[in-house]
Amino acid sequence: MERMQAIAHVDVNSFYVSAERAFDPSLEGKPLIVLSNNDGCAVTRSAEAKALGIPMGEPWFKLAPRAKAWGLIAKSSNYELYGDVSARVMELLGRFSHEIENYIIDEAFCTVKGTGPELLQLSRAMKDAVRRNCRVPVCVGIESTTGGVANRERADMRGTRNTVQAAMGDNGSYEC
Amino acid sequence: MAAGYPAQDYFDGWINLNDRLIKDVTSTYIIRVSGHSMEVAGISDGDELIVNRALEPKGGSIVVAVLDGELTVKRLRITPTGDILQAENPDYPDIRVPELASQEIWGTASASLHHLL
Repeated sequence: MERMQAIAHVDVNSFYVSAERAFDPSLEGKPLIVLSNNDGCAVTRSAEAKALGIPMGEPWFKLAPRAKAWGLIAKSSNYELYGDVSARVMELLGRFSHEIENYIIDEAFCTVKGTGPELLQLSRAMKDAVRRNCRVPVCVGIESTTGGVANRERADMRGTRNTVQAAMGDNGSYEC
Repeated sequence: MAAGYPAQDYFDGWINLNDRLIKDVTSTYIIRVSGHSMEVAGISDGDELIVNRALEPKGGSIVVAVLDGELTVKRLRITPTGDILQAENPDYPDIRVPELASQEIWGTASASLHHLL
């Protein structure tokens, strides 16, 4: 089977929320938002918070009166924590790739190589390793840069699809 | 200046506790314990635990477990009828759990920094 050169795009799901939950399991399954500096507005929303219809960037003063009725939990941002978790995620990913582009605090592009099944296995190994060692959920999307689609893992990366497509060129579209 | 002391040639740096206690920095966390349920195991209120999430928890391991959304430190006992989170203090009851899923074990403790002062 042909070995392909590919790029793995790794994205931590709802990063700030996931980092908070990693150290406080009581936040699991609850609507949770992380607020910007000085508790200005919601910058990260858990799936449960999104389901309440809370838009990205919604000012906290608008949400605060209803938070109690919703059971909504708001956390002030803790950038030391997020920086620590990010560094761990990136170091772990470096164990799977010889070349890694630390794109943003919770996203990386990793150069990988292998046959289709090997790349699929690799993407699962990356996902499991980060979940296990950092206790944050990630999605890994791998696409071949030499043509054809190697693997599409479910990814919560709607906002970054264009970036991914730019990185992939014309070699297949990225589906979420 | 004389040529120094022969012992200087043998100095090999200070002891680094990070090297000594932490095998895998990326997977290791330090957690401060509150409570008295693990005192017999040498883990007292205010001690810090070095917790390695990369270690596979085994029967007999001291683990940080997620119990009703809270983190708790207990000794893991695996029995045919289910897992037990065992306190190391006769004043605290054992906690029976049907079977702990991997996500319910937060990590495995490798050392306790037990403060004497």
